[in-house]
Amino acid sequence: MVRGGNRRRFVLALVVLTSLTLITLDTRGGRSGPLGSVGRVAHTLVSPIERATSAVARPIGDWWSGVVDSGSLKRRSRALQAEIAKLEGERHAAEVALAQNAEFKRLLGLNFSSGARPITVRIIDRNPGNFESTFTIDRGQESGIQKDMAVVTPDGVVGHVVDAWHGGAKVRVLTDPDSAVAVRTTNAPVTGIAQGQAGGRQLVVADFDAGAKVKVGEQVVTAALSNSVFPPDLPVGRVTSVDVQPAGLGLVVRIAPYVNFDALEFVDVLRWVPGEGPVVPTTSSTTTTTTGVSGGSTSTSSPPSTSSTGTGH
Amino acid sequence: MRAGRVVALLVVTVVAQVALFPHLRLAGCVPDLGLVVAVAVAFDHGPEAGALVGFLAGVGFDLFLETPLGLSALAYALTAFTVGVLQGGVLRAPRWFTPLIGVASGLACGLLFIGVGLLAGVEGVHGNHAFVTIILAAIYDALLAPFVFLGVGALLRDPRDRIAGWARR
Repeated sequence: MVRGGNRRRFVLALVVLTSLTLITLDTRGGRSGPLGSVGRVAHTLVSPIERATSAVARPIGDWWSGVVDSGSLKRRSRALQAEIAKLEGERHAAEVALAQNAEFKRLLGLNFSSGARPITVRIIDRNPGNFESTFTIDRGQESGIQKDMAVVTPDGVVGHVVDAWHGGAKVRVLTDPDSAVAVRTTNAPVTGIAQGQAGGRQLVVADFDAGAKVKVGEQVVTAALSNSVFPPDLPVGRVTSVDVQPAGLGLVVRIAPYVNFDALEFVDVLRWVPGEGPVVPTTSSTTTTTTGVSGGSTSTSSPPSTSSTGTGH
Repeated sequence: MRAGRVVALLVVTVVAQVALFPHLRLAGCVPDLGLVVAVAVAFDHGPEAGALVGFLAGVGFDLFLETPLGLSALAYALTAFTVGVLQGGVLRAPRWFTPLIGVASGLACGLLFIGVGLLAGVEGVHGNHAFVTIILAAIYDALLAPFVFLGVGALLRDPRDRIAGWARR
């Protein structure tokens, strides 16, 4: 009986101490060392299975939502038809503006575009755990995807790559509480850090100057800070509320992202490594003060799936 | 218990948790399959076996998460160990007992995860949202528990084990 009790205590102590050691090592060192390699090997092994279950689960899920929501789908379809007609009109106007913008930039010798060629990837798995906002994509190191690359859709910024292995990569979404992105407003540019909130769908900037003129409805884009993960001028979202902190210490600004993260199926990974390039010149930090909204649209309106899908394999 | 079967059980558990359950969400939450398996093992084979299986299943799951490696492992192992110790007092558990164990261990494990996660500086476990999440996950655990208990009982059945017959009843 005593021996049984001893063994029990030994197993308990072993398991608890090993767990605490792992937690400490991982929190201090991140996933760069041997622990990270083990994780990437595990990901590489499981990726094909994830891809298979995703291929099976997606049609079933689509069918089920089709059965359950057929009424609302019809209404939605009509509303979307109307919106498409409206957007078509706006697109023609925008095309003219873009052409003019490109011409002006050429004349002025400016280079706003990040020049990063996107890789279009499919999302095969999301949020494996309950306490994070991440998703897994179906391409990784073999397509040139690396840690810290920005992930976007034509709507705006989605997040950035936190880990890449052979056959897949993991993306942290903007709304994850561990995510932070340098942003600026577009009308009277002020720069701040937008962070995700646990369980929330909005981003919060808590470090705008108290005197900054930020308006509800204003567009927010990525800022060109030197060590930022994101290329500058990618659209992030729209300001939904502006509150002054007690004692006038600064503004608390909430931002609704343009991207609907739940509805994503394909995203683009920008081949743009923070601090290295490919294009963004070192002088780009000065562009923060110039109004360059259209720079964002040049980076994100890059060719959709057709041309970029072929680049990977 | 046979080592080969335990390894197979662990692999299937982790793969199902990572590749299958993200597509089978309940109100946006995934269950803790590894926890339920570890609790089932603890129930049939005692706290040491439960703690070890919980630890290994937890580490396997942690490899796929952004939360610190070892956090799920600690929560699963301690919960399964506790269930194994408490089970010593329950001689003939009725069938409706498994969902109850599922929900109780899900809640205990979730609270442990949040508590240790806060100490380790995990941002995602802040706020009321985390408590709602663990309640939903615990309900999901309760729904899975009867099936997992039967499966684990059948897979790791050992005729010499006095408790193994429980799953067959």
